[in-house]
Amino acid sequence: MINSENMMEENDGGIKVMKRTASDNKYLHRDFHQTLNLLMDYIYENFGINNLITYLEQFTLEYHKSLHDQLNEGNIHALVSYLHDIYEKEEWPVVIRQGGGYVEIEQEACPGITHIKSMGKTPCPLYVETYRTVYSTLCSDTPFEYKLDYFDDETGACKQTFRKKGQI
Amino acid sequence: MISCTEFIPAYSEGFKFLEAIGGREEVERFWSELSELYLTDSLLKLMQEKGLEGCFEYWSHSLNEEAADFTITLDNDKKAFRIDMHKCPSKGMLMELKHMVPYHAYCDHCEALYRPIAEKAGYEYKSEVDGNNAACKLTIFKSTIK
Repeated sequence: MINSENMMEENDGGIKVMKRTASDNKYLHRDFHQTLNLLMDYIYENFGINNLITYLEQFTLEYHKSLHDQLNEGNIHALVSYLHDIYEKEEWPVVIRQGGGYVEIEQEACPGITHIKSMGKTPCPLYVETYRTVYSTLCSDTPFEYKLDYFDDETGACKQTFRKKGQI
Repeated sequence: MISCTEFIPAYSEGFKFLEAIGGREEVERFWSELSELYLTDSLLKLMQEKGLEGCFEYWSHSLNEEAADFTITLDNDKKAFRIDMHKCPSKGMLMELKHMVPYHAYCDHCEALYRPIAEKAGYEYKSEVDGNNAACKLTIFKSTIK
């Protein structure tokens, strides 16, 4: 018997099979937020704040190398495109405003904090660093600077600004 | 923000960071703690309540969300649950990120996480990993030998 909705096949011999290809589903596994949270907790509790910050800096310089290089060339559009892309993939509401040489991002909650709490778990006390450290590092040695205007540790509601250095 | 869609590179970099601090032993300590903290309330609970059907329920949820290319099989007669991972989305993503070097033993984390859970639930665990092709086979089963 084939259940077409679940693409699952069962036979009389007590065998149940599910087959999928990558294109059958959207890539969105929110539980990864909690796994990252546990990794951050582990580094924080065993090796302290400075090591957690160093880990996030290293991650950013490795993973965001291309974006960092584009920012270094003054390409703020690459940043805007990246931000739209990740919030779209997360299916998460955000307001992104772009002006001459600046980008503002406002969200009413963080998808990570929201999901971690929905699982009954507690966000790492330094969860904010997935914003502050990551984006400050992204801007390091580029013509841009990053400011976390406010951040609510309970919800992850925040406003962030990327701005060309020297611009008011 | 580190999106959940960016987690895998963050995970791999985390393993590299921990190994640089305390060697392979430190990475394994983290995996052991992660297995306990992340899987006790989910996979272990399901296996204790539903047996191998719990495995089917757990992985049918997570592998679909991870958009994996897989076949999972529950054979109640043989008391075996099997995953044929034709293309692991996590290892596949790391292999596609040409500017990053994945943690050299990235695939080892699966066995480190899942074997202790399977054994706590009273089952045996066997896997074959083909990391170069982002593929693996994993079987959780009840031994017939007493």
